[in-house]
Amino acid sequence: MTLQPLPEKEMVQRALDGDVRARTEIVLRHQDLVYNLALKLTGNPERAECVLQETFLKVFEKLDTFRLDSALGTWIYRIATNAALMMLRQRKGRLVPMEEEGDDEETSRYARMLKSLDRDPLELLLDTEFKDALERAMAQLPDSWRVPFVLKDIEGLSLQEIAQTMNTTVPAVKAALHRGRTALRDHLAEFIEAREAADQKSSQKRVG
Amino acid sequence: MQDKCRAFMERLCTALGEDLNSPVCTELKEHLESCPDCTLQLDSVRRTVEIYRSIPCAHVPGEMQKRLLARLNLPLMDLPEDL
Repeated sequence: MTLQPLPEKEMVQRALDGDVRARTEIVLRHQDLVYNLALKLTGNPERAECVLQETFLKVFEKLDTFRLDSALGTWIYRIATNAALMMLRQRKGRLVPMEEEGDDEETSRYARMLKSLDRDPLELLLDTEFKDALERAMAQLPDSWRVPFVLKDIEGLSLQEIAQTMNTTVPAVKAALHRGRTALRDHLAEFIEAREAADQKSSQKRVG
Repeated sequence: MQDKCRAFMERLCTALGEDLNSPVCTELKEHLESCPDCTLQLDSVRRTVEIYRSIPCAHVPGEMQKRLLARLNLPLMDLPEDL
């Protein structure tokens, strides 16, 4: 006989009573949500794993404070966000200024980038080298730029919520968000430029 | 980039932190229609955000899940697949 998933309230109640199956079910239902968020916020699988473990330790430690009339996923999501931010604070986020480019060079680079990206996003993401470059660019961002980018542009939180979570002001979040977005755009443009140059070189070799 | 574009970009930098349909952004868009350089700036950032949004969800690898359950003192068990 196949086991049926437990209704959420019953699952929480049973987990509070020490039911091992209910606890495991809570983990398995929410582990991908937590891991994805942690991976994006920390930009590193090892750190994401630490956040994953810390989050669920906290979930079971605080489960008796969870209100049964609210959504468990939202509650866990908040704990995971705090766990990730705590980890980033402890390791003191890097602040690496981006290099400035010459104006003309910059403008034509973005035009080439847009031309090269004139494909379906799904098709682009099947290109492993491209996907790796996206992840690398995100991991290289200073934490203080990556966190607002992930929370606003990927997770869809409001500026107010992000400011509260990060213990800062809305204008500060806006400024960091802009820096994060343009830095990722610049990393992407750089990657595309390098790849096109390599392609050109190899086709010249073939002709020669 | 011309001086008028530079001033515009400063405002755009602030406005980009807002929803793209906010009143400030709407005003900026009017300028964009007549300025190819600024259009390029905005389009390239917008495209970057779109691409990042479309990255598919990662799953917790099997070994990592085992370590997680061990840390929580929970056993590996067969649970419904459609959790």
